[in-house]
Amino acid sequence: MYRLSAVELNKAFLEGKYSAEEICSYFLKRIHRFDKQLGTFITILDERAMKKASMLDEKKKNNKPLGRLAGVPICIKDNQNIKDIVTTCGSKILENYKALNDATAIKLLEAEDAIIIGKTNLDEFAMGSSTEYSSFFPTRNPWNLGCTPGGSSGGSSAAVAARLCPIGTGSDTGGSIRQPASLCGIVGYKPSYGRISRYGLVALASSWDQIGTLTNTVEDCALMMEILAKHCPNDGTSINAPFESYLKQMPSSLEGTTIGVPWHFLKDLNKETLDNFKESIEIVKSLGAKIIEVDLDLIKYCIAVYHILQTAEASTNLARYDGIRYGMRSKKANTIDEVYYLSRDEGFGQEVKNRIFVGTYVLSTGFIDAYYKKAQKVRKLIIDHINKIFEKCDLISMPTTSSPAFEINTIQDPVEMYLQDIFTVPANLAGTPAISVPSGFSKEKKLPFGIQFMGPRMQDVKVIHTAYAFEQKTKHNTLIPPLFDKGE
Amino acid sequence: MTEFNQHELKILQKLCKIKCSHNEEEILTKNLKRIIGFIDQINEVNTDNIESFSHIFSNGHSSLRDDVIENNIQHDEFISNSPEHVAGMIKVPVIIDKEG
Repeated sequence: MYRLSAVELNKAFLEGKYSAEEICSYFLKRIHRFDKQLGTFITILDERAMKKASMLDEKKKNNKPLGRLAGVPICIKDNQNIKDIVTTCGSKILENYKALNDATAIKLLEAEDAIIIGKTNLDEFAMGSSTEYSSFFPTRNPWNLGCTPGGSSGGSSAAVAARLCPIGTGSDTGGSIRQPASLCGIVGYKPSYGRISRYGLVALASSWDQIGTLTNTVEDCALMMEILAKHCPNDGTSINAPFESYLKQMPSSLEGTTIGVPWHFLKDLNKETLDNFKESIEIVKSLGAKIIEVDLDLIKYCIAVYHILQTAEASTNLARYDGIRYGMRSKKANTIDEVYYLSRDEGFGQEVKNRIFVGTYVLSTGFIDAYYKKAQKVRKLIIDHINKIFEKCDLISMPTTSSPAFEINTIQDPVEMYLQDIFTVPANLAGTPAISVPSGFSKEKKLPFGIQFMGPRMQDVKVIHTAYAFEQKTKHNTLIPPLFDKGE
Repeated sequence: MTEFNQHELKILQKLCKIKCSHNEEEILTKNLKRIIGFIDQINEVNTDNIESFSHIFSNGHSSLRDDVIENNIQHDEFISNSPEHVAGMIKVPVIIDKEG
């Protein structure tokens, strides 16, 4: 059963092959059996999930209409609110915070009868690229337990890759869905900014954040998108656009598609990653796509722009954690100032502090012009440049990451960690849709690679369809990490 | 390159409302020097006559709604998340003292 996709599980449930209770119980057992090795879940929702499963079986027995995810377990990144369930954001400061309402994404998934099986681990407040910055424990890569799964959506990525559940949600601010998807060998999708509601997603950087999907198949990604890509009146940045069918007419050919590749920007990439990418581009060509060279050298400034603007927004968003209305309050605090200063010192981890300090610095008097306002102009310059490139091609393709998964505790320099996102940040900067699809394995360490396809804003269908054609030709997604390729 | 030192860190601690231990001050100063040194590279980019990015929707997208009260969070639920509360109110240390 663990090999089945969400679409297949839903079909099996509707056809009566398995009951929802059987499916839910099976995956819960799998989680309890394997998660000690992986550390993917912060909260496992055994009782809640089984109650939902039982309700679905009752609905089916009474011939009531069933949703498109009926019978399908899903994991949720622990920065997305589920009413009355703890949302920790991987942080001590929210260790006991119970959400007061459901995120819109959660409402939509549950309305389609998904079974929420647990909340997954993440870098604290989604700040990180390895899930090592979680205040609770690191998550491990199912392909090699000595390696990170990437981050910040490392928990959901590893859980889906190890088939502890078929699908999951993540959030992507600079690559936090696509990068761990690539390092774990699964499909990770960040939609056009505004396509999925941010209501109930704990804010990191409001002009960059998007909820997205983590799945083993592009078809499952497309199904989740059809459910999640809806206008939300509670999110002022939510796009009000007509329904798009991502599942309809998924192609096997890329005839008529032009894909831009920034070969010059990739010239110093490590040989194995570059070789894998070149092989993948040959496959894309064999599907009928035309490949042209595009100049993306300007994106080398994306990480710097990101770490000015994202940290500025984050420092503002995290000012709300003051030990007053919710979250941890320091027991040592005697004055109101001590409540603020000590709660935030004790509650936040090192990387969160790095970013709050940098974000405050770039907004402060004397520096705001040189950093924040300058970075806003560079952001505009890069957006215009990317839009110009899309006048010549339908999509841009790059490797998702510069190398496969790295060992836990090997990257200590914050800037070296930031550079993990060099190929993923542009899509967040420009608000464009982008997907990572598995593209093979490294020969020596047998760790996954991913290829990224990025499209113009609101061309989510094109991006998903291109990924589908590539996936159907290569079938890398049928491989399962050997340690977890075991049934009951 | 912009210099970053412990004096600036002390000012930032006040702005960020985060108190760091002495050990942590050293780590943070080192990290911030590194990060600020890195982000300085944006000065290489010529942005003459470039307008600032203001919003992802550049065509004046409006998201206003009518000012209608909705009862979607109950008082008791909200209070239950506060670290200290009494009689339905959030309890905090004295803010205004007797002399104030």
